Amino acid sequence: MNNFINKTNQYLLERYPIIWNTKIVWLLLIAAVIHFLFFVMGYLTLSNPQSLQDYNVSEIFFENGGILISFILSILLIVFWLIMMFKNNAFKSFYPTTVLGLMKQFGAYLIIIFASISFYYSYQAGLKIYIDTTYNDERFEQDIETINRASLFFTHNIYDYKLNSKSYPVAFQDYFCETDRMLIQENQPYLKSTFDSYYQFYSLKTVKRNEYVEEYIDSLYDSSLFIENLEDGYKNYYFKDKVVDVSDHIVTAQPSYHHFSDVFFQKGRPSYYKYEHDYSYDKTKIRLSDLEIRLATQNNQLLENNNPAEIKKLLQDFLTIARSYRIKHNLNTDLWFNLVYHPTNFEVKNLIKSRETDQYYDRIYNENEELSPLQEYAERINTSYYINTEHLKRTLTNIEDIKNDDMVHDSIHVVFWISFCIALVIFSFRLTGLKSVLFTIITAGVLSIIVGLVSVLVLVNMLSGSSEEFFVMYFIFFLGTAILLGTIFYMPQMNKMVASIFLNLTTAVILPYILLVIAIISAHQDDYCEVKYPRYEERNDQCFILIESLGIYWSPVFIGIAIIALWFLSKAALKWKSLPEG
Amino acid sequence: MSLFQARIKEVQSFLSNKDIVLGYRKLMDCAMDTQDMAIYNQMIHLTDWKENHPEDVDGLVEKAQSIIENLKRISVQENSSQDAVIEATEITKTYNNNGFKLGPVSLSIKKGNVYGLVGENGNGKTTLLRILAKELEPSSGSMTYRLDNQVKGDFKLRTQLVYIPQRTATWYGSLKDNLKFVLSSYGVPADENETRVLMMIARLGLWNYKHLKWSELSSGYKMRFELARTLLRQPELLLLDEPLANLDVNAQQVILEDLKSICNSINNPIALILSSQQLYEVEKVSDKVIFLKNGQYTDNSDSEVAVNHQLIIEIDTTATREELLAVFKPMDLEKLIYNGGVFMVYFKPTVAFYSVMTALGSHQVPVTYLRNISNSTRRFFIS
Repeated sequence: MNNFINKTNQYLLERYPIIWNTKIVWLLLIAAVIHFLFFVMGYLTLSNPQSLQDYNVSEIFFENGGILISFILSILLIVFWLIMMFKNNAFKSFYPTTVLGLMKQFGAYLIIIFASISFYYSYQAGLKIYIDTTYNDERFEQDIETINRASLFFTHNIYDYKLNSKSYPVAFQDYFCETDRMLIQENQPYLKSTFDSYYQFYSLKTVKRNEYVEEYIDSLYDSSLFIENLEDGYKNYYFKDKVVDVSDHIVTAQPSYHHFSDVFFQKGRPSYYKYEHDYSYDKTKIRLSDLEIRLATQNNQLLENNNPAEIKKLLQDFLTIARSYRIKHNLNTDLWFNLVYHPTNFEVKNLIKSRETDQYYDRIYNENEELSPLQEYAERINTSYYINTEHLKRTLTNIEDIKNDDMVHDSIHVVFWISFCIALVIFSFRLTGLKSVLFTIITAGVLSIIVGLVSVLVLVNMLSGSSEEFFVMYFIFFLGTAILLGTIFYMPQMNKMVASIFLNLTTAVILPYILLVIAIISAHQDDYCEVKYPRYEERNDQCFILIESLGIYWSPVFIGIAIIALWFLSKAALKWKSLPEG
Repeated sequence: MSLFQARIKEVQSFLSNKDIVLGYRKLMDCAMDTQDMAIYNQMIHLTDWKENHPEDVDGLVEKAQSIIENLKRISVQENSSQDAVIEATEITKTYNNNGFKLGPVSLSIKKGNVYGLVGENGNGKTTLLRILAKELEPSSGSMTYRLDNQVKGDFKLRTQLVYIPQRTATWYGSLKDNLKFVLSSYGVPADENETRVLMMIARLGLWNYKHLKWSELSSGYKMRFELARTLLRQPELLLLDEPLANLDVNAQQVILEDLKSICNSINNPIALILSSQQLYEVEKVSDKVIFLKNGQYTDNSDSEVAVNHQLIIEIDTTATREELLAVFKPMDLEKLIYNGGVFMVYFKPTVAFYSVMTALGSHQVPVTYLRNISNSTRRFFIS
């Protein structure tokens, strides 16, 4: 092994001095091993399905100590690397170096640091591959289907089984169910349960308005049932129209499995909303989805068939799935079947808890609370049986989240730019030495204090409004310009130490400086737009703002800018190094 | 006969007289001049053999002879450039904080020559060296560099000017790797790298030290490794600040001889400037000695003494001034100065050095040290 390392080192040393000096081959090898270990850790993390029952398992890396191990390993790896690399410095010893050579060195630093601080992604890849293989798409789909169908009999909440939850047949989605006793028109058809619940169904009418053009009206907003956002600034306001007689479709006004319309888990969308009085801005919440319609139809069919074997099969299938996900429950098929199967109107006669509770928290409502008749009924029919469907829902959500994790999301850009900044500091240190870097930090601190003080003094005494923003931006802009011009044109006239501070400052500020220029241009564009398009929505559609137009391309654009900037910096570094002292 | 052939003959003569140490070093110089990797490898193997068989002189001579035969078949390109590598004109350097001023100094430094830069501490030796290496900006004056290896830009020029400060930086990692890194950075082909490094290690007598760590080396060997690193860069100009500091007398002589010999390379002559306090040793190897006092420049070729051809003798003796005056009375004595340690005796040009020795001998004066310093910068130190 030692022989192999020595031979490789000698091979690299004789042919590729930069690769040998930066130790990139070894560092990447070590990093690859650590990445693999993190991958394995990620792969094994969720091997117990119970670990999927927590919130946000896709971010488990930040909770189970993974981040800490990763951080420590990153630090150790980078320190080890620096110790190895700092043994030699061709630039400091005046060995021949070119601009391209310096850029290659920087590139090596960047790659090494990126590889050393990105173990998170390997861990996530492990998680994802485990989930993708263990819960393949086909199995996951089937499980969701069975769970959704069986969720009809979860019977956790009596409100889910009230008449106003009904969404089958499909026509019900075009109706609004009024449940407020005071708003029921008694001269029109309505229904009443034995628990003093009233239901009156209304058809809907809409008012369409364009809020870019028309004035916003408070009362319209307040009196509407729902508001639907359409394109180009249009909105649909929904109002009650006429009472509809739905009695032909109603079996009973009592809480019944016939009324259940909830979807336990729907991929790509949170499944906890209710229709009732939902002042929604989301069009999809007003119209039922295909899945909702299909499930409502299937549920209705199941109850219509009234076939105990079919129902038992469904319950059994669910319990098998629950076992595979290690979901806690205290039911068996027959027991559950007996709790829910009441063929006369399929009324709800027993409630099942959604999690295990002890005797002190056995009630649904607080003891001191004044209960409605329905709530009293719910308390009465509450049993000590439970299925932990909360855990089940979290499990499904977690599996879906991890499956949908696209790995290379925005955070990878953040990790890249953190690596870039660390690489720049090391680059500066290698080129100009510790003393220069320390003096640069002090100078940067002093400059920041000056910027802060001048800004505060000027702003307090002279300016107001948006001029503040511009003053600070232009002040920093002129300061940055002075540093850049000093480095470009006046370095040969400077003391070598001062020149090194200018060089290091330029290295540090060049990208923020370009960002600042873009920000200034964008701020001017924004100001211009504000005058031209006074309406906010219109402004959003019509205006070109440079910084916004970069959008998701900001990172590649800045990588391009950084490469050009590095070329100039490397050139300046060679020039600086050859300066005599004093 | 070419210069190279003459040198080979000289090596043969040393070896046949069993003057092994010097002969072997000269042989290595000849081998290095060939720039031929096959010869380098032969020398490397011989060095390895020599270190393993230190007592077998005859064996060594025999093996060296076979290399000499190979050398004879090689023609070496002579670099006979007589142009100055640096032409410094009226350079001065003023330090505002202590009022010290160096110069004006005008110098012309040629390849193949060794320049000794002497003077007491704080007289501007390091400053002058650093100015010549472009490490310091002169306050006035100009410098022209005429290197064979034409370079564009100041950074590239500075890669060619090698200045070794008195305190060399610590090396980290393997010593050999550090040397190989120099060559690969200078673009030496990979297949020559190891050979050239081992050859340099052999030449500078570092064969048995190449596996040590920097911290395990004595200061003399540190200086040798630093020299090896420097010479691998094949500099045309080499500026050494106090290379003899911390070395014992033997080591000083060996390193100076080595430097002289390496700078005299046939195809890669080097202009060497070295500063030192070791006047006697430096004068022995230097083609020209530059003396700095209070920043002012004198060299051993231009002084009133040289013009007057005065005889100046330095004597370390237990005899008193009066006794010495009595001894030298019949001779053309000009003055006798005692500086507390030694006597400086000035005679008219008509007096010969041997007659002074005769006079001292015949009067049985106890002399521990006697030296003719008429042409030495030593006289500037004393006066």
